[in-house]
Amino acid sequence: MLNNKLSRILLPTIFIVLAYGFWLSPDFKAISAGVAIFLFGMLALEEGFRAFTGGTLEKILRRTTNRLWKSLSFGIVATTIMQSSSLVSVITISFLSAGLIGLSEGLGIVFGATLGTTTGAWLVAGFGLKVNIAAYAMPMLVFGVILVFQSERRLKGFGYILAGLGFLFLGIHYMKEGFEAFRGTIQLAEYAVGGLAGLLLFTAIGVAATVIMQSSHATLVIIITALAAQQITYENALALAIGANIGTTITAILGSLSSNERGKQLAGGHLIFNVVTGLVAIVFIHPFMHGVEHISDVLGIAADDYTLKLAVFHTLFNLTGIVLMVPLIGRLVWLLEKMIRVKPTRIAVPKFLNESALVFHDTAIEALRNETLRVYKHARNIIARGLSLSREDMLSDLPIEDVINKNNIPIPFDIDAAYEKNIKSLFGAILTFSSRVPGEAQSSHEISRIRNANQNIIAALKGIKHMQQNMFKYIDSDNEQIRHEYNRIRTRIIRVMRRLEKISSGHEDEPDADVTVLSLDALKLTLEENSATLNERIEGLIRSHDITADMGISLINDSNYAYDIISNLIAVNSNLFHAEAKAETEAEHMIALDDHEISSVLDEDAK
Amino acid sequence: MKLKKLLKKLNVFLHAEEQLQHDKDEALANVLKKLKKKEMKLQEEIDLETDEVERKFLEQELKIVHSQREKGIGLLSEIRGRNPEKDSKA
Repeated sequence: MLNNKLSRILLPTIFIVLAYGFWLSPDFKAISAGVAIFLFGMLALEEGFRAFTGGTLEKILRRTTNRLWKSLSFGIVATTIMQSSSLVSVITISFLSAGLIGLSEGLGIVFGATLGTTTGAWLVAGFGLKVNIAAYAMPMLVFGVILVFQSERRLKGFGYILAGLGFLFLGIHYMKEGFEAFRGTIQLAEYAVGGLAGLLLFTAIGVAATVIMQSSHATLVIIITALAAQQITYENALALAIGANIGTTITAILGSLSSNERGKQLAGGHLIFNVVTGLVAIVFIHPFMHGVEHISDVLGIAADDYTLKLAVFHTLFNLTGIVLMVPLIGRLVWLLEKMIRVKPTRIAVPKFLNESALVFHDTAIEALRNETLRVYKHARNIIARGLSLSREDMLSDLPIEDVINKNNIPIPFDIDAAYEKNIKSLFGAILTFSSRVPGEAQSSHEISRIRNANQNIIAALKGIKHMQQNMFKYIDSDNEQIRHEYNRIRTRIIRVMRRLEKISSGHEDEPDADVTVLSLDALKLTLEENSATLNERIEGLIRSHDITADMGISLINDSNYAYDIISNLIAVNSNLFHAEAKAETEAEHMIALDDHEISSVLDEDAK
Repeated sequence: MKLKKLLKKLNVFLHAEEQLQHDKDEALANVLKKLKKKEMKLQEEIDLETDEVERKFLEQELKIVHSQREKGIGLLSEIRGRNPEKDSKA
């Protein structure tokens, strides 16, 4: 809530400040454009790498992170290649959330990424400012964009990577040009504050700049270019670099907002690492500066080449951070797990399947049937939510039309997550338990019917999942006909669910109460009848241009899914209903009409 | 007493197949009785129903029940080794 209000105020404020800045100074405009192009390049890079996730990248990730040194190296290498520690952190968060890697492996990657990101400073300091990088950016952009237009996923991904790198370089070029021109107008160095106050002030500026731009890289580029143009003092540049290092965690924190607790733990670890490293660098700034001088001498860096010295400093303090924090990784994991507790996932656990039920054949069957009924109840909820309804409304006594009108807005619902949470574990437990039922019972009709019922439930849920996307698109569509047709599908499923509920409740005044299995045949007949008239109606709608051919195809597919859902729901109940006497249940199954016999009744009816 | 019990158990064991057949016969007959009851109830409901759509639905259901009874009678006759035509009159 507060976040929303804040972002509502923040965005217009940023726009106004920027617009005012653009009006004041064309150079500021060039720098900002450079930052924007740079960030756009980052987005393109991310898009490109996304094309390679889900396959090779995942496999490599799993293989290369099983040891701490491996995950550290992975972080360093990946960030050096991608030139974005934020991107590596966010990807790592997503892998952690998916459970592909553990927290300590994730922390290893993030630690490595902080060192890997220092190569950016070297790249810009040693390469970016001396060569006209825009000359490389242009061909990269051209080749990249051509590849982006290719349909093949990997080529497209490679195109995005190339274009992303092109934009990165172009952004650097613009920023550099902006600062060159800036030099003549304002001397940032005049505002430089010395001592601890200056150190803290510029650290804060570094944090703020990186939070705003969401890229420590962009801040570093600005620092180095400003330093090269002598806009800021060397000491202030160091403080800015420390601030940038802390501020860069913002992307990971933002990325973790949408992830689970594991992702949040990693983002927390990232923040702790960078804050600790930053504090160490601030406290020991003078020893660090001496260290930088010494290393620069060894490397043969000129005394006044502050940009390269900044790169040395950036690498040195991040390396120190790693040396300090790696031995504490176990404690950090402990602390993070204590601070951000992973809520135990409430996966449904079997209620009726216990060892004592296995002793007798009848108790085992009863336990399996009751557990399957639980699965069915969960599935009923998922079906209702998948149709953008509440279970209460779906099974209420309200007229179906009113229920449909009341629930006419698509409501997002993650069927896969609900299946994982409430169905999968129970289904697995039922299959395992049924394989342990002793002796002859294994081959009994009852066991096979219970197994079938479970499979029918899964099939019905699959149908709902397939249908959900179009259902979402069309239940509040502007096209009245398609909206009506999709609501008709919903109506059919609701009607069947209600009928099944009524039959299974077994009220004495119900004519079906005594012969539950057989009463399902009437539902089968209605299902067949509806399906026979459906195609004709859809063709009519397409012919009269009431719906487009695309809509028609969706409708035909979804009607088939609805048919499968309903027939599976009927089958679930047929497999689970049972009379008081076992022999009578068998007799009912013997008498129940098969598809061919149902069709004969339908044909007779047509005459 | 114990001997009597043993003999009874032996009798059940020796005539298990017959017993099964008998149970099947009885179950089918019971279901058929229930179906007949349902058929009559549906017929009453059809006679009272004023809504055309609902009546059509009930009539369809009646046809289904009728077909189920026919099938059941056929199965029962098979078990009893008789002519289904004759049984249906029962």
